[in-house]
Amino acid sequence: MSKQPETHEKELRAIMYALAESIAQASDEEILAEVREEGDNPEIAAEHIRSSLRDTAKVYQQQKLRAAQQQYDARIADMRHKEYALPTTPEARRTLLAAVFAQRPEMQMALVTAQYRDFTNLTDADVESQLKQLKELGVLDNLPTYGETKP
Amino acid sequence: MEKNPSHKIPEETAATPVEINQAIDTLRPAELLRLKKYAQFRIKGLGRASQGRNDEDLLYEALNATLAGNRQWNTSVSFPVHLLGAMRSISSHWKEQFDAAEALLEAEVISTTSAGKAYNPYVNARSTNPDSERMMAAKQEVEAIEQLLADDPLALDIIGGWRAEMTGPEIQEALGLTKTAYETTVKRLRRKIQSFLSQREHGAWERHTMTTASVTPSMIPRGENRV
Repeated sequence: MSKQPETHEKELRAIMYALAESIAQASDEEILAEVREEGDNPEIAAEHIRSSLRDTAKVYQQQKLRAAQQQYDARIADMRHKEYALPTTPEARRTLLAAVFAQRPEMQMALVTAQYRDFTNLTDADVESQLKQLKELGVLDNLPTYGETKP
Repeated sequence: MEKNPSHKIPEETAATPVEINQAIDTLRPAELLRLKKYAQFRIKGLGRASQGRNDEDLLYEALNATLAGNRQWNTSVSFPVHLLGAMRSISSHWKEQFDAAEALLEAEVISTTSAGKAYNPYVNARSTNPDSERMMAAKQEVEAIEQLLADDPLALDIIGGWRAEMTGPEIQEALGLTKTAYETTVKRLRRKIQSFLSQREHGAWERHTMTTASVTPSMIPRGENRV
């Protein structure tokens, strides 16, 4: 009785998988010799594979960076449009930010570049943006001062 | 042989993207070629289940899965061994997915006749189905391999063992071979088969088949004129 076509596929797969495992076990010398026998230059063929792997890794990492940038942009856009319970006047917001940074100096280091550390150079919009970021980070919620300054 | 890499590993032993890039840079030529050849054989073994994917697709999928952390590289095993394991696992997964999709498709089209008998158009249409052509090509490929090794009875016996899904040690025991004799024969038959496949890829297939076997359209590499 003749075999089903699926049986032939299964047998071919078993042969090819066994050959794959034999390649996994083969020595470097055997592999290089086999590539030469096939008429290829092992060094050139290997560098072509390396270059393709590098390209693949680069594309993956660029995609990941782009995704992170898009996520950041979306979050910033969301923050711009979101309503935050912040003091209503620019002066009160500046006072609040100063109070936060006084209590959490590490936040000032993280959010504000050195040239703006004396506060006078920060625009009202900058102050508001910093407070929004602190609010997003949950810093304002855990600050006793914020409770007293809340409008 | 190093132990196989695990799928999920403790965070502290998983490689970072920087380590992965460094590993690519330091792979030896033979390691790179081994990865490529391994992928070629796995894809060839998948047959229809590869669904048009090639060896590069398999290797890049293994790398991307590693970078994404879906298949973490435990740095206690070498990078090539990790990639071989990832390719083995991914290609097996592709096969399972293909089988599941095919079974679902077949179940959807099986109907019952008025006499209460199940009617499967896939079985009835086998002679004209493009997939059945490819399945028959598998038969011809196996036959071509047998023909290629016709003057090497020991190699044929080993191929027979593989076809029966026997492991290396099982074949050695059945044939009364030492490990060295088995490995030497495997090396010899692998070279013959690789050379045969390589010649076919380079367009010498038609010349070869003129003297060894009848040509079937599905055995001619894509992009070449069919007989």
